[in-house]
Amino acid sequence: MTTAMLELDTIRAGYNDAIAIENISLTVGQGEVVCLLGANGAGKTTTMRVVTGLIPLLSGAIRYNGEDISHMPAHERVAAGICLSPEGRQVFPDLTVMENLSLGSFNRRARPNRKQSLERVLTLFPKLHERRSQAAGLMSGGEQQMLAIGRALMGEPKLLALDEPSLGLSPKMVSTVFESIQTIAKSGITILLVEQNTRAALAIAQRGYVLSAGRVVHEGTAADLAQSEMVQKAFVGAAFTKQSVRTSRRERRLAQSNEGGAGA
Amino acid sequence: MNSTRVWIVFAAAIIASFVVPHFLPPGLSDWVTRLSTLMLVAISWNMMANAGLISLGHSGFWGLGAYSVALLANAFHMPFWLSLIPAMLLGAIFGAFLAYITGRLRGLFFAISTLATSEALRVVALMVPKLTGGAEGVFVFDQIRPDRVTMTSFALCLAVVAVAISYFLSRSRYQYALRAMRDSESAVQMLGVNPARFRIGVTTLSGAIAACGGVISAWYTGYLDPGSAFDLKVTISAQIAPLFGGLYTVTGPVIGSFAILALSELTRLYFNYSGGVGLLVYGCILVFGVLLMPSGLVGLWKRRRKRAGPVAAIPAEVK
Amino acid sequence: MASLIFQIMVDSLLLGGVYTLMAVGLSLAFGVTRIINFAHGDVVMYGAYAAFFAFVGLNVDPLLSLVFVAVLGGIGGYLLFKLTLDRILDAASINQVLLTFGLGLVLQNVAVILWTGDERSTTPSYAFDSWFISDDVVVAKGRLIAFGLAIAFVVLLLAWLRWSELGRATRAVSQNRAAASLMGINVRAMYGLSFALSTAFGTATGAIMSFLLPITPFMGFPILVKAFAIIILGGLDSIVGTVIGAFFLATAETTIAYVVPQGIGWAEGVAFFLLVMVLIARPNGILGTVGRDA
Repeated sequence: MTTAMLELDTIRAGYNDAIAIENISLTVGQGEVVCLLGANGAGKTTTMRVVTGLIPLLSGAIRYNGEDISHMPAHERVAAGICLSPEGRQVFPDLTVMENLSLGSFNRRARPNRKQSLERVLTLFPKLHERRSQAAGLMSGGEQQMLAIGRALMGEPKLLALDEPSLGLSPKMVSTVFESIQTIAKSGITILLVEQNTRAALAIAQRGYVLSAGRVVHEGTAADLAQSEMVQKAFVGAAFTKQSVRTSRRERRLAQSNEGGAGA
Repeated sequence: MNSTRVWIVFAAAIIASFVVPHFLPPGLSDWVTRLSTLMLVAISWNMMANAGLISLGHSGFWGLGAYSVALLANAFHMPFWLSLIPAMLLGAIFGAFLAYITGRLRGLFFAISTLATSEALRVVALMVPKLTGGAEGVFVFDQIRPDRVTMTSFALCLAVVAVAISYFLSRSRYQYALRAMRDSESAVQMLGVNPARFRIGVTTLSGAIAACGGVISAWYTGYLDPGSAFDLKVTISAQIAPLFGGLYTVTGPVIGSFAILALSELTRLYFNYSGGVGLLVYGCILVFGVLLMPSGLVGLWKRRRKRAGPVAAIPAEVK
Repeated sequence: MASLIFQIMVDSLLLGGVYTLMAVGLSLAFGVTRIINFAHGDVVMYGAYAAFFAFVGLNVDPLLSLVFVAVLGGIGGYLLFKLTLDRILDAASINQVLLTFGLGLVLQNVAVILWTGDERSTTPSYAFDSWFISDDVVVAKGRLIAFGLAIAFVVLLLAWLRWSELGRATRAVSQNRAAASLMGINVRAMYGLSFALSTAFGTATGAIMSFLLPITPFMGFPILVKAFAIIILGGLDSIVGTVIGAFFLATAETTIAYVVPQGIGWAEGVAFFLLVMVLIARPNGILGTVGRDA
């Protein structure tokens, strides 16, 4: 068995004195797209912050390509190849798009290849090329999201972490962004994706974990999760296709007839 | 300690403050007076700090109190106990002014404002000799100055009252609001508290208390000039005392005042007390105090009792 | 009348340049670290003394010792930062205020002990020359040179911020700390760098002021108050705002000095007055975004 690229081993972490996530264990294999699902406050973003080093872990360990990075500072993890597009985009509002992107390749490893990375990112997101001299803070949510992802790509990540890329975006924008994410995945970059929009996430992921109240409550392949009742019921805002709704109604009728009407 | 017992303790202390000075030798009496004035400014500073307001110009209140005494004593021959009232009023107004101009701004702005305004007051004292005697200073009208024993009683009594005020404030319903304000004023608004009004209340009260220190000092020494009335040492001592004894606590400023006074006596005995050395020592104490003992002696004691929790270096904001 | 106005304009301009240099370090450090250095005035004072000793001891003109003084100031500031502020970065802001305040006190009184309160001055030849632009308008050569240097430093800083890798990183840190670390930027190291730049600019200001003002250990305090007034007027986290604030204060002071009887004495009070006005009317300053609510 090959070592997973990223491994979280019984992580506990929180803020000040409050524990936000407990006993979190997950793996991300090379070239995979893995998603973290869960409702608001489930601990997904906290997990991301622990992965990228923005908050320290209280117990457990993080391993990256076999190496323990539990205490590696955030800026060094970027150089090691973990790049995050954070929740809420977090672009530098008074810097231009170009400046934001250039900063993405600030780390030693990525800096020499800045020109090529820039070309790649601007090809992937032509809108950013249009707006390259505009202050990032003035752009729309969708454009800022593209910028955040592009900025993370500029760091030449081996593991691209995306935190809620669909947040606040129109459905059309969500498909555009997720198409781009899929393109990125196809180029071989490993992706760890945190999403509330379950449908969009499972459409591009291979595997996923479900978080609730700071713990992992379910895991499996994307197909498993897509059909799991827990996933379908638990999340507000997940767009059900007519197919999945019909399926669940049929399943429920089957279950009722099998078990004599007992609740699922 | 229940309420009645507390009242009894304070009443006894006030009575003691009138009785004890009769039995003190002059040196000790002098020491007690100085301790009392220090406690007044220390308690006052601590009160403001408790609400998240860092005063870097506490000497302003002291100076206001002192100069108002000088003016009233010389112009109207006002007796010492009466002079307290206008002085406290001035201190209160000054405090309210500072709270007003900084509105709901962060504590940093308050700090800057106190610095600037106390300096401005000093400059005014210097530049308007007709009123203040200018650089040469002014003598307090000698005939109506009280004797040593009366002075010490007066000072001690005021100090006790100040401790009582800070004690009752700490047990009042305002305490939670103030402490919350210290951490986050925007959060406090959600609790239905109006931070601006609280600020003005705190600064008015503390300002009045601090002015008392200046009042006592003026009557006691009988002479003041802009340099000594608005001395930076006043501000520094007012800060170090609570820092030493326990920031934000009731007993902290009291214990700290003892410590500071003892320390300054020691340095005076063993070192040649030339101009810069005193302030240098104070500055070092402040720096090391902040670096090593942010919660003061009381905090150290408290911390040893509490089990050491995770001391993670969480970035100040993860925006 | 016209020549008076012109004289005021000239003097305001020249003073404004120096004031900009004086305040820009404070503004930079605050923008990045969110720490106000209450010892800034004393840092300037040390720069003045350094230039003075270079002048009398080594016969080096203040303009030549300027860069050297700035570098020394930067190194000193960095060390000071690492030894003290770095340890309390995550502490409540009261600690930072008290710490820098205490540091200022220490610096000031070390100076008092070492060099006494006597007034000093560097006296390079250009400090005494002046040119007549027209019949009534005079330009002091020393002030013009001071202006030129100050502006040069500020322009260099702005260029560095705009176009260099580290400069861009500095701006990033001041806009969003967490996101900056996600770029691979070592935020703590950037703090140290900004602070070092701030003290470098401070000591440079002192060196320039060495032939403009009398040098005493107590000169730092009025400088601090003025710097505060400037950056609050311009907006705590805006460097361009600082420039505007500096020229504004310079103009106000110069006008008062010329127009009001005994104006020179009262001009010192302008900074305080301006500070209060800004706090009441528009605490964010002209271009700033920091201010509202704790």
